[in-house]
Amino acid sequence: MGARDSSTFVLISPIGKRVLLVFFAVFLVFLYLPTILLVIFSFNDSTVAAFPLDGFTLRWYELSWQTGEIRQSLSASLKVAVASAAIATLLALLGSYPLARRNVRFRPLMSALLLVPLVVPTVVVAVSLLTMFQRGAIPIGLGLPSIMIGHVIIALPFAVLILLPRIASIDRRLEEAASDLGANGLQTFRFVLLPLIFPSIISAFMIAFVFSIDEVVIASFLSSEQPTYPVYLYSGLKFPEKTQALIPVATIMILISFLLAFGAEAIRRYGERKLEGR
Amino acid sequence: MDGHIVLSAVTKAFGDNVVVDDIDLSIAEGEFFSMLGPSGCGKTTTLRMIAGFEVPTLGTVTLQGTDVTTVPPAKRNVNMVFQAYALFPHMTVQENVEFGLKIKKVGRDEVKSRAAEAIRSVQLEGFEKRKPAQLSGGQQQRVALARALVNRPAALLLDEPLGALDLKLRKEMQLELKEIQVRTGTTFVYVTHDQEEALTMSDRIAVMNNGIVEQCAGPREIYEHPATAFVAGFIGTSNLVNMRVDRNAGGCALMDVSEGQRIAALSDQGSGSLQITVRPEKIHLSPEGLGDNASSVGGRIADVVYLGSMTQLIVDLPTGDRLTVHRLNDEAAVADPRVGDTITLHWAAQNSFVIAVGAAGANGGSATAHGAPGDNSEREDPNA
Repeated sequence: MGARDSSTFVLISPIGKRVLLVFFAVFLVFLYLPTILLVIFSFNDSTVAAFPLDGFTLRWYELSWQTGEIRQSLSASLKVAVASAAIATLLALLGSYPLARRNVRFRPLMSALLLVPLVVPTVVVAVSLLTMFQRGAIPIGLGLPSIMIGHVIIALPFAVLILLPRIASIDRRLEEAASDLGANGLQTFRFVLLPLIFPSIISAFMIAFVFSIDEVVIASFLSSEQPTYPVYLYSGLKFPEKTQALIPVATIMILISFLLAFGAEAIRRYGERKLEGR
Repeated sequence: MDGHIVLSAVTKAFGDNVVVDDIDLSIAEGEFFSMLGPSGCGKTTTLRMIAGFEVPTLGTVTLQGTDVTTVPPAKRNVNMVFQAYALFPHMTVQENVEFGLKIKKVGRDEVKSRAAEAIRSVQLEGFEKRKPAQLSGGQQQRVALARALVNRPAALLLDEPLGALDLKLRKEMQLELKEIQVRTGTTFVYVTHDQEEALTMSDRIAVMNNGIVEQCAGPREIYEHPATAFVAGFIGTSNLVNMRVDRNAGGCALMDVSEGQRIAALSDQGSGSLQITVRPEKIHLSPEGLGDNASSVGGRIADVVYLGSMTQLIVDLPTGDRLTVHRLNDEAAVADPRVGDTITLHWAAQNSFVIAVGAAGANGGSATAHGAPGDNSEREDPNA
């Protein structure tokens, strides 16, 4: 793009463009450098995560695999993430359908209520759940089930944000057509609506999963003996001898989160397109 | 009333908005019945009440002798072809067509054979594995038709099914729809705002406006004998003339426009006024063969529009009305008149359709005019 490119607006001068480009590059470095460093140190043959590097090793990966506490905390995290993602997705589906379809009274208010957890600080949610579960209204105590409930609350609005527009985008007449052809409500859902929103359901599940798997505030407030992985990671960092075993798992978690987040969007877009043969 | 589909005193209101206002319709078995009217006239709501998507506020819907007023759509033996088709986008043509049969748990072999037959009847063989997005508008239309017909419904309900197609395809599909309807003997209830479409295909047409049925009759009757000013205006070109009745000669109301010029209409009126309508193709430029008492009135040409097979003349009458005249471009038509020319228009008295009567006539006090409102609709309804 030269300076004489007539198709570009001249709102930004050529120098301004260069400044913006540099700014963007710095921004990317700022965003990804810590992650990249972590990946590098996970392969570094040294007990200290610092430069200069001392050569390549896989022994930290081996060590973390052999550490029982790490395996247990990972397993706890996975259980919480799968359960909370499944419940959040189901609740989001049940909440979105009537909002998208029926003439609900106070529809804007209802939508707002579903989305409020987006703006409530996580620490507030965590404290309120702590008081409620410990001695309050629902004294189920602390532990993985409580963390799971907290994660459902955090993930629900995101699942709604993915499902609601998709359901709303499906022509209501498709449901009328199914009903006209003899289908009852359940059959209409099973054969018409569900296949059409399935990519969005998977997408919502994956996003909710990613939210749960690296969530640390609620998990640390509500955990009892068995911590989830992020909580274990955070507490482990206080002990330098544990640090090197933690970095490889953190690296793998980053990878999984990236894959899931990108995968969720890809499934939603390409899944829908393929479904309709476009 | 004894009929295949009967609507008795049906009213539908959404809140304070009365969309369908106390209508009665009786549709015979095997009939191609159209509901025609401008948007918002209540035709689609009426269709949706037959389908079961709307429950009437008042009145009853009877299907094959059974009251189905509150029966849900899934349990009614009618099927609908939706505006914009509403095909299931994730299913192939085959799966779309089979849907209704599979839901009804029809046997596997019968599903296959009936689907194949339906797909053949709409000429879509070879497209079974395609999805709707991979088909043209006309093909999607055919899938929608096959998906409904495969269930062998007592009646097929069509909601402006050709609205999304281009003109040429629409004309083809009109003939094809009619052909399918005749071949299968299925009752078609067809909603459209396109008067030409309704005239082309229908056995009978209910012209609707503001939630009421203005006229319900065969296409020819509707066109040639419009019962109300609305029908006259909505079907074909509106050619309204407001005539003052000066005298009556043997059942013919006459307005003496000037020396040798008059407007005539069959009516017992001897005074007062009449509102009449004349079809553009019934107006001639020569008085030959029109009989006595034919209208004969001079006018000034306001516009000349060449339309290929014919030329359309817009003529201002001394009554202040403006008439559209269609003139075939055959050998007889040597040169077109020009704007500003004065010509004399002629039409037979029986082609003046009285649609409104002003001020009661002196001639026996009878205000019953030929083709007056409420007259035609009842006389022409075969089920009445």
